[in-house]
Amino acid sequence: MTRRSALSAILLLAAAPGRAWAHDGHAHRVLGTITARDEKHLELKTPTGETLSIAMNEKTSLLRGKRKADAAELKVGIRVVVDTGNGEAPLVAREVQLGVPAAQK
Amino acid sequence: MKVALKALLLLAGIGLASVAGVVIYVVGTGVSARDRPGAIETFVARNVRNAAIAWRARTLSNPVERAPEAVADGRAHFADHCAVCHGNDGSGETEMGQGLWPKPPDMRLGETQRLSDGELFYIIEQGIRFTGMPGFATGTPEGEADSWRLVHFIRHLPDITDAELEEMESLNPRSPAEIRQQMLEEQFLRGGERDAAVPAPPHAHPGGPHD
Repeated sequence: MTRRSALSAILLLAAAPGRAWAHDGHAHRVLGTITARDEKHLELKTPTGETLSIAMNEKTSLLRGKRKADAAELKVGIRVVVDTGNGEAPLVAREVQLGVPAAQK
Repeated sequence: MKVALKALLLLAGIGLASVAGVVIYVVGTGVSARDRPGAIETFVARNVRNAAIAWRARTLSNPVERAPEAVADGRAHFADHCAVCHGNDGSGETEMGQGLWPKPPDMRLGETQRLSDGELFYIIEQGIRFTGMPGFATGTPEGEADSWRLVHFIRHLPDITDAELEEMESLNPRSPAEIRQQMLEEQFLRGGERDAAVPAPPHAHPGGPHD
């Protein structure tokens, strides 16, 4: 038993009830239009004009609505919403939600 | 007599020194709710919890028939009230759950499933002191029936299906910010422009991860 565990056990009976409100771990989601892609990366142009590179891996899930989408549906010009987990660099996609092609100007 | 007195004073001194050591350690390091309790601490906490369950509650049997409708009602109730800490699948792997001390258990496993129906009912109704588990008793027959239906659903957790989990996601409570975020995303995916009337929620990043 570690010292901390021992102390925590002692304090178990004396501690006031409490609740921890964690503030990390919120999903960070990026909106953008695909401007380039390969097997392991997406390049997005966001509505504010920023260009982002987001990695994909075997855990990345692709969805269109509630159904699973095929990797072939990830085409340049498609609008997507990407869940990047904690949003820390390097960005890695946990989920990519596919939308419609961006309007041509 | 003098020897006995010396021994008593020595024991008292050791006791005081131990208490002082604990206080100094706690003040110096703090006690975080994010730590994962050790094995002995978990053992002690679990047994204190079990001892706190009234004996008369242990042998109670579930008066609600285990019909599919009862399990479905329990599932919806769980998604709305319990999943924020326990997760829809009962794993406890949630942001809130992992910030609690002690952590919510993985309810699919034996430590929870071996509890009697009466013990589960008692915990739902009365909560567990010194933890994040509140007591939900309303003192009404309807409230008790809801708790018994939750017991049925907890029994079902080891066999929960993907379809059930998907349905539960639609029943999980959402904050106004999350509702706004979903509206913004759906609008964007359908081809609409970003709508200035729909303010960006605190954790959505329409222009990138850190704009």
